[in-house]
Amino acid sequence: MLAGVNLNNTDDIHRWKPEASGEFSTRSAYKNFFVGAITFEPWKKVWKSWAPGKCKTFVWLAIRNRCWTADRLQKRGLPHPEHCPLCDQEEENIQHILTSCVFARQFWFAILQPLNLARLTPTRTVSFADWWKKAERKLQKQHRKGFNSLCILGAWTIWKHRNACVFEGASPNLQVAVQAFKEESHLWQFSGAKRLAALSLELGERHAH
Amino acid sequence: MLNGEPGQPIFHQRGLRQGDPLSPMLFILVMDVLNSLFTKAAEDGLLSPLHSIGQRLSLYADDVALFISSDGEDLQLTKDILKFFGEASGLQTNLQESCVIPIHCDEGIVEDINNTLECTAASFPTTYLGLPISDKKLRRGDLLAWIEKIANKLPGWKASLLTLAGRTVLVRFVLTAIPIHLLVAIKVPKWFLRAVDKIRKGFLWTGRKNANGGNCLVAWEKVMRPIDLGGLGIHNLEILGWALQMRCLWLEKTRSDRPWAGLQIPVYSNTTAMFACAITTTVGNGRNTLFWTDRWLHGSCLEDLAPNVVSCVPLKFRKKENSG
Repeated sequence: MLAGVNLNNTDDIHRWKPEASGEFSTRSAYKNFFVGAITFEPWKKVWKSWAPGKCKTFVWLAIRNRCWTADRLQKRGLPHPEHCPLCDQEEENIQHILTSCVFARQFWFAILQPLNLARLTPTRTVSFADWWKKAERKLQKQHRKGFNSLCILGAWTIWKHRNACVFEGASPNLQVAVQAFKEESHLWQFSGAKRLAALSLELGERHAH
Repeated sequence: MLNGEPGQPIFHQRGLRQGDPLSPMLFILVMDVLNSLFTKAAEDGLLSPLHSIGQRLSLYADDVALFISSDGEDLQLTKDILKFFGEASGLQTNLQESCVIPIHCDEGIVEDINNTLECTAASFPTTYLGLPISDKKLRRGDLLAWIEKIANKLPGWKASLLTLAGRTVLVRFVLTAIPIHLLVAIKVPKWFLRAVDKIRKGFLWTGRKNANGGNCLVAWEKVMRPIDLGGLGIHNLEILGWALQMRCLWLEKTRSDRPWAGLQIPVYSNTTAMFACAITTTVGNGRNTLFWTDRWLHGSCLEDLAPNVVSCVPLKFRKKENSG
């Protein structure tokens, strides 16, 4: 066993395994304490996409089911709307609002259709995170980043619309929501959402021909 | 003008701006002389030797710490050296502004010190380079100043105008960064981490110092995970403390010429454990490798390879023996 070990006149060499260079870094030491922890599957889609921080944080909360929707309000005995304010049919929770609600599905259809992606419109039973994961996989690699931005923006727009309905007494209106989406999307593209711009350009054009 | 009377004219010809890259070099040139003076005095037997501390002098810009033994002659000599150095370099020691802190000294000697050095006597805890230092365990009061420092950041921020995302950034990079300096140097108690966490948590969810359960949408433990593990990437201070302390162990292992190498550094047990399994050693002359505990044999340590052999050797013996 000792065959490979030779004492010689050089200094001992210590290697720090977590870092490829073998040099110590606090960053890798900190990360090393989390080895084996369960990954938050959609983290890259949420945090590495081009989107304002507040939208990303919202999506993070939404995937974790932590938005103040009727189901959570009810649990705490707080005043809450009886039915989903957007479709007025089912009970409200964040997954319902973002994907399975009739209004939400119409909305997604309306914004995906111009990109020729109408086939990706969420179905009635899927949760937001699941739908996002599956839809992203069906796309070509170069379109995924833009699509992720679009998903965050879409979810954010629906949530804004829902809040307008609940707190400002607006009535749910698909045209208004889609218009808000388009305007916001233009603003995002102006402020640097290159992939989002590329997505609507490439996929949109093909549709036009 | 000094105290209303004109003094001698000052000829100011060249100067350095603050932050000039030359200034630390000039500082070293000058201060090295002071260090040499003390080293020389110690070598000639004029200063009685100190046990356990290799270095007498610790200098960082305007913060100087000097270790001397509490002997009457030593004190007089120290005063002379400082005076001499002051006259030669123009860097007078302001004895009124300095203070003497006795480490395990008798009452009578403290009197002596005051008479010879004419500077204020103080006692532990004190601060050096912004860190609280004490010969005993740090008490709650010594660290409260840090908590306050962090809490004082909050009122200046217009939290009500910030989104959750904006507050996350402030917590991640400003509030968390403040205690890092402390975490590197000392083993902080749990209550301190909890107090800092309370402020961070309160600010993140409400923008105020305190938050009650209903304000917090996600459990704090989960918020503190890295973003790829479902958190917001806010550092977990406890784990960060472990990681930061590991640097000391690493430096002790790889740069054994550091003046503090060989001192017993107090570290968390988790730090030692993680450190032990995260480094591998290739043996050269075996001088800097611990025979029993380091992983020098094909990436494992003796305890893993031959646990029976290791358990046969008494612990006392294992601690003494260094390299093979």
